[in-house]
Amino acid sequence: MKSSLTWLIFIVTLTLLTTGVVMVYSSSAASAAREAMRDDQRSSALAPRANDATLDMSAHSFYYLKRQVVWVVLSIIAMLTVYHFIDYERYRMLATPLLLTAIVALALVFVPGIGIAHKGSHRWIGFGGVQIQPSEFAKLAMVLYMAKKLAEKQDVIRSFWRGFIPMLLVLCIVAGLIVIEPDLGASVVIGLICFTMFFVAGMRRIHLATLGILAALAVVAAVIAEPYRVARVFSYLDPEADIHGKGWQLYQSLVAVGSGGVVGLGLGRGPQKYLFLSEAHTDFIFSVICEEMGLIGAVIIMTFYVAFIILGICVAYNSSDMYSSLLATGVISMIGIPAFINVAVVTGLVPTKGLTLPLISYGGSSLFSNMLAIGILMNMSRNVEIANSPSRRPRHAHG
Amino acid sequence: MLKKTYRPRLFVLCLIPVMLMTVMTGKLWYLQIVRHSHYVNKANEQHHKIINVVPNRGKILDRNGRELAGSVLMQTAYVAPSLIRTEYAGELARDLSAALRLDFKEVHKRLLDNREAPLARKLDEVKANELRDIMRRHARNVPTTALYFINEGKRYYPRSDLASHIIGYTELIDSGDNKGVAGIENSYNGILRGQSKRVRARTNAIQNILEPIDPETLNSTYGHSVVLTIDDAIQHAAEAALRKRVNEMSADAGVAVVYAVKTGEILAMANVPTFSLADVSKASDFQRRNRAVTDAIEPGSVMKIFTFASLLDENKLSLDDSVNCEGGRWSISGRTIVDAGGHGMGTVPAKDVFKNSSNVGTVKLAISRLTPQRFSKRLVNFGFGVKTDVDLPGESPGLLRPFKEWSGLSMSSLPMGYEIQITAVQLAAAAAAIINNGIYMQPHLLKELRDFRGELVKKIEPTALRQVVSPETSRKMLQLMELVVKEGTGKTAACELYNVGGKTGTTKKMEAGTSHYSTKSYIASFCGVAPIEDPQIVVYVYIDNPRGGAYYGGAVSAPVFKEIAVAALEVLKVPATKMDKPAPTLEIVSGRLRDKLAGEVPAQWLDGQFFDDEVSSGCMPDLRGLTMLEAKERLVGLSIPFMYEGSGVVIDQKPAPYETIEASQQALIKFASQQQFFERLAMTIAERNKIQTAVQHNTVSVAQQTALSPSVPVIKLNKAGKSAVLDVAVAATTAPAAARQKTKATKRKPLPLPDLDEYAQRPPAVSAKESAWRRMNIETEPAAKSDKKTGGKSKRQSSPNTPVMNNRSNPNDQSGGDE
Repeated sequence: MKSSLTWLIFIVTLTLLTTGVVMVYSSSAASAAREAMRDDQRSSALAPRANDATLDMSAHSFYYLKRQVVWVVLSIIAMLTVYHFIDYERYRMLATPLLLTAIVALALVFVPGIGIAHKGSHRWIGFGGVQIQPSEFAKLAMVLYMAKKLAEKQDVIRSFWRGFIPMLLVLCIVAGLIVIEPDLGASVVIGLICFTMFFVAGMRRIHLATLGILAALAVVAAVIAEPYRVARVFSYLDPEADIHGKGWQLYQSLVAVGSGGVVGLGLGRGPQKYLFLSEAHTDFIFSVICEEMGLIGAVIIMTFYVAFIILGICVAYNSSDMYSSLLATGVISMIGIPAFINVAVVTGLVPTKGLTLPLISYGGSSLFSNMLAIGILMNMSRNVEIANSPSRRPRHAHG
Repeated sequence: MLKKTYRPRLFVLCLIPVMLMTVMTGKLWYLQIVRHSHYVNKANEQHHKIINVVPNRGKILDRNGRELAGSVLMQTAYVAPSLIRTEYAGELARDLSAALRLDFKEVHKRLLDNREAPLARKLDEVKANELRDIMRRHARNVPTTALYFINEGKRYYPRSDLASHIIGYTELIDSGDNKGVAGIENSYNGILRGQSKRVRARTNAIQNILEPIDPETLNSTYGHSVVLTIDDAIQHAAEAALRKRVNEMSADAGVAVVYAVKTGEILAMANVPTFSLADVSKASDFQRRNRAVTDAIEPGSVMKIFTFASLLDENKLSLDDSVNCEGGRWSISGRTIVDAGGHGMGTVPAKDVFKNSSNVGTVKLAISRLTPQRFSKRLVNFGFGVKTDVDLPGESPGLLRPFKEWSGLSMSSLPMGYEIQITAVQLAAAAAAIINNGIYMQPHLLKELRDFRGELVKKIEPTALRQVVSPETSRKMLQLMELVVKEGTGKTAACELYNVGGKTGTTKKMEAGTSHYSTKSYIASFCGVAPIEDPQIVVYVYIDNPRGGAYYGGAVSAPVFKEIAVAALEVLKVPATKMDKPAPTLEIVSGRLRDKLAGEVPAQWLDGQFFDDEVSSGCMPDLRGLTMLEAKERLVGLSIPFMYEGSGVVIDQKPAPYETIEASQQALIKFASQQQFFERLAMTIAERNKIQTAVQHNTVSVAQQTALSPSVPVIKLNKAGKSAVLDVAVAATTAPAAARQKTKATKRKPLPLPDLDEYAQRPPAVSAKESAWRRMNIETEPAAKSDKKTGGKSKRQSSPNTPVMNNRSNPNDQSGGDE
C-alpha cells in the first residue's frame, strides 16, 4: 500500500472487524443455540427438547460465528478488490445506475417471493440461500450519487431551487422507501449521511437548518404514526418504568453496560446475552462489549471509530477535488453515524433504534457494503500523505 | 479547487466525533462507574433464580433391605404466563387441559395469570413428554419454555398392603414436599424427609437454568433411609394368619406382635382390619388405627405370666406349693371369683394353677403372698402404665393405677388381668423380658439409618434397660409356659417342629358406656414363646370380640400364634428343636475335620462319631475344609489323580469321603470360600435335622434335657447309638447303598462307636444355649469379626470366620452367665 494513511485505515478496519468476530461469537452463543434449534425443529419432528437447548449450547454456539466469518472473508476480498482494481473516479459513471438499482431493490422488498418479511418488517430480499438488506447498499449508492451530484452542482449549491431541492428530492425518495419498510433507523442514518455531505458540499446554513427542522418533524411524525415507536421514546425517558414490557431492551442494555464496570466481566463471561439482551449479537453488541470489556474496552472501541473518522477526514481534506472529498465524507459518515447512534442507543442517550454497529455487529449486508465503502476510501487515500499540507501539494496547484 | 467553505466545515466535521465521544464516555462513566453497583445488583437479581430443590425422601426398608416405602421423582409442570400472548392462550389451554384432564377454564386462567405457578403436579415422564409435544406443536405462537418442569418426589409403597400401620403415610404439603402423618413416616419424618434446598442458579432471561445444580447440594437434599426391625416375610405371615383368623371368627379386630426376645426388635406388628397404602383416603380411622400401640386392653389371664413371675421372683412361691382352688369358685371381699370353663380344681400344685389358668388359685396366691406395694412395683418394673417409646406415634401408656389408689378389690382383679390396661407392645416386651433371663430390652422398630447411597449412618444397638426378674425366675416361667402348651389351656399352640410355651387369656370386655363386664364379648389372647430351648421370639396375639362360638384364647388365638411362630422361626432359620438330640453328623465324620472346626462352628455340629483320618489306599480321604495346598498334598500322597474347580477350601468332593476309588479314577474336588463351606455345612445340617424329625417323631422335650437335667451325655450316647442306623439310611439317599456298605465292610476303617467315658469327658465346647445363639449369629451376621467389643473370646476372634457373640445383646453375659 502506497500511503501510510491507507495502512492506518486498513489496520483500524481490521481491528474493528476482529473485535466484531470475537464479540459476535461471545454474544451469540445463547441465541445461536436457539436459532439452530429452530432449524432442527423445522427439519424434523423429533426435535430436541426445548429445555435442554440451553444446556446443549456448545453444539450449536457456532451458528452465527460461522456465518459472520464467511461474510468477513468475503468483505475483505471485496474491499481489497475495490481498493486495488477500481479507481474511485469510475464511480462518477456508475453512481446514477447504482442508485437506480438500489431504488429498485428497495422496492423489491415488498414484492412477494423476492422480499422477505421478518417480525413485520420488509427489509430483506433473498435469492438462493442469501438474504441481503437493500437499504445497506442503498446507503453506499446514495453516497456515490450524492458525491457526484453535489460536486457537479458546486456552482449552484447555494441555490435553493437548483441546488438544495433536487438533492432533497432524491433523498426523500430513498429515505421514504426505507421508512415504509419500515426501517426508521436506516432512513435517519441516510438522512444524516446526506446532511453531512450537504454540509461539506457548502450548502447554505439556512437551507441545512430548514432541512434539519423538517427532518426532525418527519421523524416525530413517523414516531407518532407507530405506537411502538412512541412507547420506545417513553421507555427511553424512563427505562426502569416498565422493565418487563417496553423498557425491557433499554433496561437490559443499561444493566449490561452498568454491570461491566471499569474492566468488564471478561470475554464471554457476561450473562446478559442469555436472552436478556434481545439482539445481543446485532443491535446491542456494544452492550456486550461494555459488559465484558468494561469502560476501558468501550472507550478503546470508540477511539477506533473516531480514529477512522479522523483518517477519513484527512483523506477528504487532502483530496484534489470536491467529488473525492465528498466521497470520503460520505464513507466516514456511513461508518461513523450509525456507530455513534448505536452507542448512544445502548447507553440510553437516544431512544432505541434498530441499528447495528458497523463492522462489529453480525449482519452480512451491512458489513459487505461498509467494507466496499472502506475499499473506496482506501483507494482514494493511495496518493495522500498525512504530512502533506494541501497548499504544498503540487497536484492542487493548478486548481 | 475546493471552495472556501470546504476546509472550515471539514474541521467542524472533525470536532463532532470527538465531542460525541466525550459525551458518550461521560455517559459510560456514569453508567459503569457511578451507577455500577446499582446495575450489578440488578444484574444479579435477574441472572439468578432461587430454585427450591425438593427434598428426596428416604426409603423405609425392612431388616433385610427390602423396600417398604420409596420415592420417585415426578415432574411438576410450571407455567410462565409472561411468555404467553393472550390471543394464543386459549388454543394452548384447550390442548393442555385435554392432556391433563383438567378444566379448560382453570388451565386458561393459569396461562394468563401474572405469576409462574404449577399447572400439574406429579407427572410421570410419559405425561411430561406429552406436554412437551403439545408445546412443540404450539411453538409458532408460544415459546416452548412457557411450560417448564421441575422434579418433585412422590411417595410409593411397593407392597402397599403390607405393614401399612407401621409404615404410615404422607401427605403433600405446599412446598411439593411430603410430610409423614402416620406411622414411621410420621415419627421419623425429620430423618426421612431430607432437606429442602434453595439453590441460587444462574438462569437466562426465560428462566432456564444455565448450569446443572451442584451435585453436592443435590445430594444434601436426600433424606436418610430408615431400616426397620420388621422382617417382611414374618410380617406377611403374621398379617395373613391374623386376617384369616379374624375373618373366621367374624371378630372386630386383631393384633399380633412378633418380638425378638434377645434384642427387643419388633419383627412384625400386624393389625386387622388393615388398609392399603395405595389408597389411604379410602380407609376409615377404624382401619388405620395401629392397635398394637394405640390401644391398651385388659390382658386377662395372660397377666398371670406377670403375677407368677412376681411371686416367683419375690421367693414367695415354689412351683410345687399346694393351692386350694376351691372347686373353681371362691368369694373374697364380697366378690366371687370363678374359674373359666366351669370345671374347678381342688388342691393342686401351683404350676397347675398356671397351667389351667385358675383365677381362684392365682388370686389366692397373690393376695396371700404379695403386698400391693410389691406387686405394684413389679408391674411398674415390667413397664406397664408407661409408654415403651417404641418408634411409633400415638402410643398409649396403658393404664396402671398407683397402688395407693388401689381398691380393696384391686388385688383380686390385677393378678388375673383386670383393672389394668396394657398395649400389645408393652405386653410382648414385658413377657420377652421375663423370658430373656429377666432382662427388659428396649422395644424398637428402628434398626438402622442409612444415607441415600445405602451407607450406614447409625445403627441402633439393642439396649438392655433393666433386670425385671432373676434368670432363675425366667427359667421357671419358661417351664410354666411350656406346661400350658403341653398340658394346659394352650394345647392348640403346639408346633410340630418346635417346643413352644405360652399363656392363654380370655378377657371379658367392658360393655360400652357401663362399668359392667359383658357376658358376650371377649378378647381372646395368647402370649407365646418359641422355641423353649433357646427362646428367640415372643408372639402376642389377641382377637377382639370373636363371634364364631369359641372365645377362649386357647381356642381362638393360640392357633394364630402357632402359625406365626412357625413361619417366623423358619424365616429366622432357627433349627427345629422338637427332635432327638443331634445324632452323629453325617457331614463331618473325620476326626481331622472335627478338630479343625472345633471352636469355629457350633459344637452341636461336631457331635457324633468320627473316623480316623487315616485311610488306606483305594479309599477316598475326607478333604473337606482343607486348603488347596493341603488337599493336593493328601491326594498326591495317596496317588489319587484329581481334577478341581474353584479356589479356597474344599467344599465338596467326589467320591465322597471314605468311598472306594478305583486306581485310574479321577477325583473331582470343588473349592470355594470358607464362608461358603460353613454355609453349606449349616444348610445340610438343618436339612438333615428335618429328615430326622420326620423319620423318628421323638416327643421327648429337649427343654427337659438341656434346661432341667444337665446330664446330657447319657442320652446323647443313646441317641447316637440309635441314629447310627439312621446314618446309613440317610446316606443311602446320596450314595449307592451297596457301594457304601461295601466300603464300610472292606475299605473303610470305622472306629468303634465312641464309648460313654470318652463322650462324657469331652467337654461341650460351648453350652447348648450359647451355641444356638452363635448359630443365629452365623446366619445373620456373617461378618461378625468387625465387632471389636467381644471380650474374653479373643481366641475365637482371631479367626476371621469365627462367629463372635455380641456382648450387648447376649443375655448370658449380662445375667452372669450360665456356662
